[in-house]
Formats: sequence, structure tokens, C-alpha cells
Amino acid sequence: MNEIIMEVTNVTKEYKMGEVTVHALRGVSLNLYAGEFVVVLGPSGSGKSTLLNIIGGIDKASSGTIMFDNKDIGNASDKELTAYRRHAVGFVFQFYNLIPNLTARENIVLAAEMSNQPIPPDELLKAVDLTDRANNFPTQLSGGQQQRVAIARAVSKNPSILLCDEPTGALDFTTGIQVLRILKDFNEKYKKTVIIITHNASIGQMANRILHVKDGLIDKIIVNENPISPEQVSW
Amino acid sequence: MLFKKAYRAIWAHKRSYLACVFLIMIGTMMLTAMGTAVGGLINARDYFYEEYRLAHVTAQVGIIPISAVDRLRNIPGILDVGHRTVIDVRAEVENSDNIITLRLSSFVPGEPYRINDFQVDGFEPAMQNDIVLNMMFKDAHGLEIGENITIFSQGRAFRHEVTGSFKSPEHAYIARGGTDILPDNAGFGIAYITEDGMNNLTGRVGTANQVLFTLMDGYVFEDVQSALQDALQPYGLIALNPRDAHISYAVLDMQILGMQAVSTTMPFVFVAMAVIVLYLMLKRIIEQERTQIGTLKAFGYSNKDMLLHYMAYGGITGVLGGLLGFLYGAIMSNFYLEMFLEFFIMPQLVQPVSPIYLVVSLAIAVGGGLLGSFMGATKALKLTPSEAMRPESPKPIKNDPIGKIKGLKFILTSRGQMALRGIVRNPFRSGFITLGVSFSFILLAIFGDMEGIVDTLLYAQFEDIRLYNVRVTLNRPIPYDQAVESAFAVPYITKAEGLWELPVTLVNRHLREGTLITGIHIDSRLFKIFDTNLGVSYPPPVEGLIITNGIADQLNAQAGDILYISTFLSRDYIPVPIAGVIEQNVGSGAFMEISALATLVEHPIVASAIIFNTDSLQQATDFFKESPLAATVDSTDATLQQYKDMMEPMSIMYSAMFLMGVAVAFAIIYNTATISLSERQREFATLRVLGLTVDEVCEIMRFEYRVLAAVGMAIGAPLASGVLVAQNAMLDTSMMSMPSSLSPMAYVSAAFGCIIAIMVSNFSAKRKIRKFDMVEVLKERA
Repeated sequence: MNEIIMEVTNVTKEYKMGEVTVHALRGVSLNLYAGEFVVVLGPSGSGKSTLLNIIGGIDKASSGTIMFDNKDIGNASDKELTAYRRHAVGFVFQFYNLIPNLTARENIVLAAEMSNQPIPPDELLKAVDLTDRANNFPTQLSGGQQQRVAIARAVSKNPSILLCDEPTGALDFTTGIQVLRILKDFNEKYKKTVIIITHNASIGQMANRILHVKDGLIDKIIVNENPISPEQVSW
Repeated sequence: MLFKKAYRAIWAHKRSYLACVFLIMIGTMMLTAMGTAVGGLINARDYFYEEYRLAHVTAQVGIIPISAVDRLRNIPGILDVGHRTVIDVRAEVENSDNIITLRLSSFVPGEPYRINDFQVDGFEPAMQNDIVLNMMFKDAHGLEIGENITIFSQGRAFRHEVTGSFKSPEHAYIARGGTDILPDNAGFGIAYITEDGMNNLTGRVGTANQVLFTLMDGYVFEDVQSALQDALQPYGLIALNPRDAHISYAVLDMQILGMQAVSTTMPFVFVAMAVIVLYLMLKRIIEQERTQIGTLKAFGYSNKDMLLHYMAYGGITGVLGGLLGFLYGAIMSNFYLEMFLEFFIMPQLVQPVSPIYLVVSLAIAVGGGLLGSFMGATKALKLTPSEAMRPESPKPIKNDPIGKIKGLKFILTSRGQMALRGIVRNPFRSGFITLGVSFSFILLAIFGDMEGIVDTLLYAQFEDIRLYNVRVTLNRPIPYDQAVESAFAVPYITKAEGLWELPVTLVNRHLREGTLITGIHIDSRLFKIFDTNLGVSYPPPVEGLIITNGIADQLNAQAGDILYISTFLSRDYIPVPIAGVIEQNVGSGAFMEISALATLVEHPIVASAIIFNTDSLQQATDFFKESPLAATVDSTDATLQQYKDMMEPMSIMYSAMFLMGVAVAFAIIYNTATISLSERQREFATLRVLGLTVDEVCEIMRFEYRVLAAVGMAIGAPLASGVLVAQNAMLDTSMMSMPSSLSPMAYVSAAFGCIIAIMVSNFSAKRKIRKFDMVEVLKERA
């Protein structure tokens, strides 16, 4: 097993919806290892996105600790969380969230500019096979192309953890497989941790570990000794 | 149920709606307050003019026998004729250090249907030594009925007993006239004495120097002008003036015109701003509520229901703004009217606020609100339920400035590029922000420079034109050398010169204008012919006249044209070329070298006034008090100080106006910033997730606002100047023209005001960005 890069201990998350208190996470504990490929599965409302948001530093836990690089990001200030997001994590969203006023390349440069050890944007454009669309704006790209730019953007910061929230949710099968291939390549080439949240259980087959989340708890963790390649995944 | 939704949506965006309500309220407040006040002022004026028979024409002559006056009644168009003697004299009030000039008018006690009648508070003078004074002068000196005032005439002192104060339509606004257009309540007053009293002062019996005319219905000044000139020429006609040449009439008229302009244009400007803000807001709300619209339509709500629902947002805003504006205006109208009636010394008439202002305020406000929301809401109509359920397709980038301008890519950071493209991609929003900044800049520049304008208007007279500190107006012109010698007899005089002010009528074809030609010594160092616009002074011309822009406009003449001079010194019209036209903001006149003037009118060189500098004002004043030559003595220092004291409280009003300008700028900029932020919250949330700090995200907005504000201010600067010129053209009279350029400080303070408004808006935006719930924002569809 590789070294632990994050320790999540007994994390809970509660929030109010009107007069109802929702217990999104009820005490989640897990370790994340350097270079592993993790897929988080679970039905809607199970708490998997909340877990990802807390790990990613865009939401705060109600209790518990999330230790990363000897710091508890669960209790970090806004300033510390910004620095954490800036240097440690990369996000890939279901709906891409590219900056509409920047071209594909500029979207990647925007993120790379923030990093101390960025991956060259042109290298990433080549990796996602979009060199010829580098100067296109998001509106001039297809959904799959936009998601590839979004991945390149997230990766360009050279983060320790890449967090992907339903990265293939808005894509057709073929494009979805292309996107998974890029994520896998990043995981293997740069030895970075990739966490994917999805409804799609088939994607779990390419992970090193599969986390099943149910009712705000980790229901089970399956270690996959023989992950398949993205091209072998089907749904 | 939809109403409940509208109510909650408005509550959720209450600050933005409040800003719209504020804009509408200011507009409709101006309509109601200014409209009512101007209506009241017009009513009071008309009542005053009618009731006290303000003369339609006033003729100033050298001297006319009273017996000759009645014959003028036969001139076609003349309804009634009156006569009087008007002279300026020095006066002294016990325990007052002021150098006082009184303009004395004679009247016949008990005369029925007196032209230029006056309303006395106290007792109308009946005896030779009785006198009534204008209220402000009486109050300025704390004079009570029964107290005395000393008048100096022909070198003798006359004691008069104050019997009361008066109001009159010709003296609704009191100033010396000429270049002194501001009241000097302690230094200059108007008084009425009996005809007998005047005879006693002047030593003349059975004569007058002013003839007053009222005209029959349907007749105007021009209809009788020529006949009156011919009839009065033998009596040394000095000036023949219609009502509007009178300072009181002109200032009041200018005030009314200005208020009418403000009350009719400004409400539309403010409401138009609110319309645009509402349009932008509704457009944004509809984008945000796309899914809701689809759902409601799928449930069976019709297009009409949806349109009415969204128009209700604007309607409610309009009703609130209109009602508040009307109420605020109704309260302010009394304040304004009282202020103006007091300023113009007119009868205190009550002007009820007409319900028509409520109707018009609501019509403009609700109409504007509905229009803004209709423009924003029509998009909701076009959506089918299925379309509404899908996210809106993003706007394509058609013109990419960074692609077109090569260097930009290397100059700007990614955030700078985002900001620049944000400006180009949203031309309407960017245009509106620019327009809003320009509008605010204009308001702030003009409000901010009111003090500067008044300074230019008044102080140029003292700093650039009248370089003397005492002026003695003589009873009659005396030989120039004698005048200057008499001045040097006064102790402590350092410099002295004579001026010859010759009353003339200047004629250019059918156009005539009564004025003074001021004859100035060729080497004059105490009086300058100064162009206030160019800031240049000219030597007195030896060939031709330099005339002021007011006269040039009235005569439709320009440099090089030939004018004809009609003067009581000659029966013939004397041709004279215009050597130049200068701009002077206050007063009007013509100027010439004194000996050239003497040659032109074939008269020995004389002086009608002495100007000098002295180290001892008191001694000079005392000296001329005893002099039979001097009619009045004026100290420029005292007059300037009086103006400064009077203008001091005005600074508070100007500051309040400036703050209102900042509030308007803030209302516009805050709203556009809020809308812009709302449109881009997903984009900004993404940047926050990527690791950008709040400051870095704000920098994008700040960059945009810097660019747009710079463009807005660059457009606003010449427009402010243009608006000032347009406003001044409307208020221009031959007597006064407003400065046509703003001071550099006006631009600086306008820029400062805009920057403050932008900074406050940006600060508010920063708070919102800091509070962004990234999870919520990013959960939504793009």
C-alpha cells in the first residue's frame, strides 16, 4: 500500500433545509493513498457529493477531522482552504464549468498560473488531444471536448488529488470512455490520486478501491486487485 | 399565488429594487416638488405683476417735463403712462459702517392705478421726509418705523424718517444691476419717497427721468418701440427697455425657466435609468427562473399569466417609487416655494400640490416600471416549457478583442482577458454601466462645480476686471482731468482713473439694444476689458467698440460689423465698427478708449465715475460724503465680502447636491454590479474552487469597472461640458451668461464621486463573493 495522503476521521455533515436537519454524513472515516484510483458509488442523497466537497475544501464538516499534509482542513480558515484548493486539489465537474470568456488553452493556463509546479498547458492539450482546438472558446467545443479541457485544467495545477464529480454524467458512452482514459492516464503517468464520484457502478471496475456510500456512511470498501482498463468498461 | 412568488422575489432582491425605487423617487420628487414650486412661483409672479401693474416698457431719459408725459398716451398701443424720478444716492444709517447706496424712486401719494405700484408694510410716505425701504435693506440694518436714515445728495445731507417697508414686482429681486447681479442687502437698497421729497433732494420741480408704460392687450414692446424712441429722443432718451431687460424680471424668468427645465426633463432621465436597471434585473431573474417558468407553463399558466407576473415586479417598483416620489415632492414643494418666494420677495401665496402630479408621477413611474419589466420579461413568453427546462445555450463570442489586438494577450493576465471579454460579450450591460457612469459623472461635475460656477460668475469681476477698490459715481459727467485731480485730493490714494459711462442704444439693422459704452483710459490699470472665457484682457480699442457676447447675441452682430450708436448727445446715428466681441458672464456693455469715444460722439473727454485704489477706505468715503460731485461711493472689497458671506450657506446646498449625485451613481453602479455578479456567480464560484482568492476574483470585476468607468468618464467629461453649454444657452440673457466651461476641480470631484460609488459597489460585491456557497452555485445547471 502507498503512503496515506489524507486521513478522514469521523466526519459528519449536517445542514438545515427549512426546518428539517439533514444528516448528509454521519461519521465517515477513511484514508486516501497516494496514486490510487478511487471510485465512490452510491444512490442520490447518500452523501457522496458532500464527502467529495468536504475533501475538496469547498464545504466544511460539522465535526471530525480531515488531515492533509499535517493540517486539519476540516477546521481550516477560508484563507487556508483557498490555499489548499489552489495547490492540493483539482476539480472536475459534471457540467464542466469552464470559464466562457477564456479559450480552451487559456482555461488551462488560468489554473496553471496558480501552481508552483504546473504541468505545461500545451503538454496537457496534447494529452487530451485538443491541440487543434486550443484557441476555441467553450461554446465552440462539444461536451466531451469541454470535459477534456476541464480535466486538463484541473490537472494543470499538478494537484495531489484530482476530484471528479460525475465526470461522465453528461456525456455519451464513447466520449465517456475517452474521458476515463484521460483520468486513468493522469493517475498512472503522474502517480496522482484520482477520486471519481458516480452513479455508474461499471466505472468502479477500473478503480483500485470502490467506496460504497449509503445514508451518510461508508457502507463498504472493496479493494479491486485487478482493475480493468477504461476501454473495457461498458454500460 | 404568483403574487406571493413576486413578493418574495422582490424581497430577496430588495436592495436592487430599492435602488430602482430610489431612482424613480428622485425623478418623480423633482417633478412634483419643482413642478409645484414653479407653478406657485408663476402664479405669484402673475398675480404680483397684474395687481401692482408692472410696467411693460421703461424709458430712462435725461429729463422730461411731467406735462409732456401725458401726451405719450396717444401713441398707438399705449394703455397707460406714468412718470417718476429715480436716482442713486449715498446714505448713512446710524451705527452702521456700511457704504450704502440707495436707489430712490419718487411717487405721487394717493395716485390711483399707479404703474409699478408697491405694497407697503407700515405707512405709505405722505410727508416730504418720509421714506419706505425694501424689506431686506430695512432688516439688514435693523431699522424700525420712526427711525431715521440720512441721504446725501448734491453735497447735502437729508434726514428721512422710515415709515415702513415695501414689496413690489419690479423689485422682487434687488441688485444694483450692470455687473452687480447679487443682492447686497446692507450695501444697496431701494426706497420710495414722495415726489415733493424728491424735488427737495434734486432741486428740480415738475420733471422726471423715468417714464413707465403699460401696453394694450395684443401689443408688444417692438410694436411701440420706434414711436416711443422718436417721442422721447428730445428728452435725452438714455434707454428704452422692455420688462425682460429689468434685472428682477430677468432673474425671476431665468429661475422659472431653469426650474421648468429641471422639472420636465430630470424625471424622465431618472425613470429611464430605472427602466434600464429593471430590464437588466428582470432579464437576469428570468434566466435564473428558467426552470420555474417551464414548470409553471407545463402546469398550464399562460404566456399572459407569466408576462403579468413578471411585469408586476416593475409595476410594484413603479408604484412605490411614484408614490414615495410624489409624497416626498409634495413635502419638498412647500419648502421650495417658500424658499423661492422669500428669495424673490413676493407675496406668500399657497400653492396646493395638484393631484395631476400624483397621476403623472404614477404614470411615469408605473409606465417606466412596466416598460422595464416588459422588456426583460418578453423572453419568458418566447420559451416553450421544454425549452425552459433546458439550460440556455451560452452566448457565442463574436468579437474577441484579444484575438484582434495582438499585444493584449501578452499584456493581460488570464483574469484581465476574462474581464475584457466579459465587457465585449455583454455590450448592453457594459453600455449601461458606461452610460450610468457618464450620467453620474455629468451630475457630479455640474453639481460639484456649482460653487466654481458661482465663483467664476462673481469673482472674475473683482479679480480680473475691476482692479480698483473704490468707485465713486458722479452726479454728472465732469471733465476727465478734473475728475482725476479731485480723486488725488483724497488722502492715501495710490492710483486713480476716470471712467466715462455713456448710455446709448446700439442699433444693428432692425435690432436695438440699450447699454452703456464705457470709455477707458488707454493706459488704464484699474479697469480691464477681460474675456472671462479665454482669460485674456484687451487694451481699450481706439477704433471701434469691443462689445460683450450678450450684446452681440441680442444684436446678432459679430466682429467687423458696423453698428449705429444712438445717444442723447447727438441727433444722428453714429456708425462704429465692432472691434471685438468678448465673453463676460455677468453684465453687458461696450468698451472704447475714452478719447476715441469723445471724438466719436463729438464731445469733450469727461468722466462719469472715478475709480481708485486707496489705503484708507474710510477716509475716502468720508471725503466723498461731503462732496457735491459724488452720487454714490462703492467699495469693491466690501461688495466682495458681502458676496462671500452670502454664498457661504450655499456651499452646504451644493454639498448636498453633490452627495445626491454620488447616491445616484451608487444606485446605478450597485445595481449593475449586483446583476453582473448574479449572472456570473457560477463562473466566479468555479474560480474560487480552482483556488483563486476572493481578491483575485474581485480583481476581474474591478478590472471591468475600471475600464468601463474610464470610458464612462471619458464620455461624461465632454458631455458635462455640453450639458452645461446647453443649460446655459437656455438661461442666457444679455445681462448674464453662465460660464461655459467647468473648472478642472469639477472633473476631479466628479471622477472622485464616481470612484467612490464604484468602490462601495465593489466592496459590496466582494462581500457577496466571500459569502458564495460554492456547493450550491456549482450544483445548479450551467
